[in-house]
Amino acid sequence: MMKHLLGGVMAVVAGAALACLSAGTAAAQGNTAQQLQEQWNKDVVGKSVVYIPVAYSVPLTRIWGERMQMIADRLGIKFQVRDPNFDTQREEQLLEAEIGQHPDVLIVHNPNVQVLAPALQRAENAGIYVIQINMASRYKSDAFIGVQPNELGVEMADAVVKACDAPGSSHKIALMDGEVTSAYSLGIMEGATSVFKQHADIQIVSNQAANWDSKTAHDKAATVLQAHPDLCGYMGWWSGQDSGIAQAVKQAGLSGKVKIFTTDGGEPPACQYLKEGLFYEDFIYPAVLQADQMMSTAVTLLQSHTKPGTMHLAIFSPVNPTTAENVTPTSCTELSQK
Amino acid sequence: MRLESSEDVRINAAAGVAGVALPARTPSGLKRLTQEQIVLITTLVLAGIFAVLVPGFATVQNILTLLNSIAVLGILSLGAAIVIIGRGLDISQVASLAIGAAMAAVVMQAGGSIPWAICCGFAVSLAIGLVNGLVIAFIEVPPLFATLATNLLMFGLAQIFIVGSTLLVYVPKSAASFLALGRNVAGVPIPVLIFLGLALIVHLFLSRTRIGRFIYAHGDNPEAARLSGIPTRPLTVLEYSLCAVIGYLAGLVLMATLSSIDTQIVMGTEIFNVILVAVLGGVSLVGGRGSVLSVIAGGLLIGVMLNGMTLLNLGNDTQNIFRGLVLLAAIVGDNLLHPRDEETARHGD
Repeated sequence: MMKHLLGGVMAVVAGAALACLSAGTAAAQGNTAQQLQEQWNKDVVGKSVVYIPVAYSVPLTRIWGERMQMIADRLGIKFQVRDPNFDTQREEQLLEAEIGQHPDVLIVHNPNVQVLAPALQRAENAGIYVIQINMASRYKSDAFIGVQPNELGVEMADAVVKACDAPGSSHKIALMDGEVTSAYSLGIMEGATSVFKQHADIQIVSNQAANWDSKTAHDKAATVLQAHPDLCGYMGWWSGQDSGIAQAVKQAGLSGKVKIFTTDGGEPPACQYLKEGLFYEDFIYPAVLQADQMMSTAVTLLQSHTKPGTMHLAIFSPVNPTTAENVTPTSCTELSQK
Repeated sequence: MRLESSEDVRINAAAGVAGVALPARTPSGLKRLTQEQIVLITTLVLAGIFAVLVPGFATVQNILTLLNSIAVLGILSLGAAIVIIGRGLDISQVASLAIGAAMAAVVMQAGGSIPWAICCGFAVSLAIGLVNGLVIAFIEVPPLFATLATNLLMFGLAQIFIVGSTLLVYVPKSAASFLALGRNVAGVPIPVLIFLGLALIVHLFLSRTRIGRFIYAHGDNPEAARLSGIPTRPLTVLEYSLCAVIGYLAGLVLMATLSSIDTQIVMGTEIFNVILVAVLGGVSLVGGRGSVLSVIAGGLLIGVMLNGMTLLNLGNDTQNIFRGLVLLAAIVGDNLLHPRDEETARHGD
């Protein structure tokens, strides 16, 4: 009898305890979700993110911008684009003006390693998180998202060597730099040079810069092809510029003989050029993924409550070497035509 | 007032317009050389140095490549020269180039026929020229400000109504016959033929027609030209319209060469190269001076430098130093040989 009673009491107690426990867990769970929502509402919703690319008219910066805009709209973040339109001085002025406006996060695309560095530091001192994208400055800010140019240079140069070091090839290659003082160009050049140094038979017949302009690239490539019609490979580091090389090669009647190696963020014309055989290989980095990472990093920094300038995150982008054989409809990103 | 052989047209026009006999003093020796002759000599000397130093420079094929690289710039400078000789300035010429060409490309993309596309682009560029001319001639806004403003205005309008915000327009593959404009005929690039053909036409227009001479008179002394009965306002509209239309032609050539047109160049520094080529060769910003030969001389100098230094594989910084030095030398040389003439040097006198 007592045994049963004891058993019954214990069962009730256990049941009650269990019930209390589960109710408590539910309450705690409710509290956690609620707390996170509150934290999100407080730290993220209504915050402002300003994006300053070197120009907002090139496909790469638009892919980033449109994607971030979409995410920001869904999350309730105020997102704005400032467009210096390839004018370095204007970009610096815009950045200074933004420091005055005090947004919560600045996402900045540096034209070179030097010019924006002091302003980026001032922005962080003023309490603004700074994310640098694809082209870093010499100032290490809260976060960097983009390609690792040095490794990209190594990977591209390896591909060039593989294609042009074969028996029967002229072993002659040419390089078309962009803006020589950008961190991106410097890194690629350094990586590529380290590879070419190990292959003494590879002969670099030309190393010129076209400042990201396709007409300049076209004219310089036409001149180089004139002097070296037996050129094996042409390596540039932005497809928008290197489309000029492709046209010069085509006009010289050397399509298929001179292999063009380029890189970009999956910009639609480049895939077309790959399919037509105008580009031999395009090292595509996923711009949409980069944009997602930019917004994720912004949201992370906002919730971290760290003092701007104390964290130094880096997210390096993967690169997909793409040729006419493996190019797919999703290799490049379509843009809206708004 | 100086009297130089190549400036006879200007002097004659000015004298005829003003109805006065000009005091003439014939310079001797080096001072006989006009600016375009100095630039041509500089170019030849430079080409000679490159021919010795750079294997592959002095070949027919390379000279053709060189000419091809300056064809677009040269065509633009021919248009700019017309306006500058008439004592004007067109900062918006690259807008006529890019927006007109982009219009043509957009029509081609939409499936329009090539002649129709070319007509649509032509209309857009002509409209830019007409707006410039009308604002400058009738509202009397200084050309620098007027064309700076139209440049921005047209770029913005084009972004909204023509190209969309990506700014880069590709010529569709269906327009293959248009792209042939960027190819060769009997080994000679078509852009070079267009440049040379247009140079001949503009030369004949400026030196052999009445309107051409009026443009010199207009630039030399606008007030005297007006008083002597030249319709300077319609003439101004004509000058800017020609400049825009020639810019459009350059745009078509550029678009055929690259299979695309990047309207971003409107906001770039290309216009300074265009003015540089004209001014370097002796088309003075004070108006009434220079000729088509000036444009050819200036263009050749730029082309020889670009080509030779690319073949020499000089670095960007070294190239800039040389380019700067040669340009400075040409300008200093001109200043030494042709000291500024107070009578005509001031803009707007």
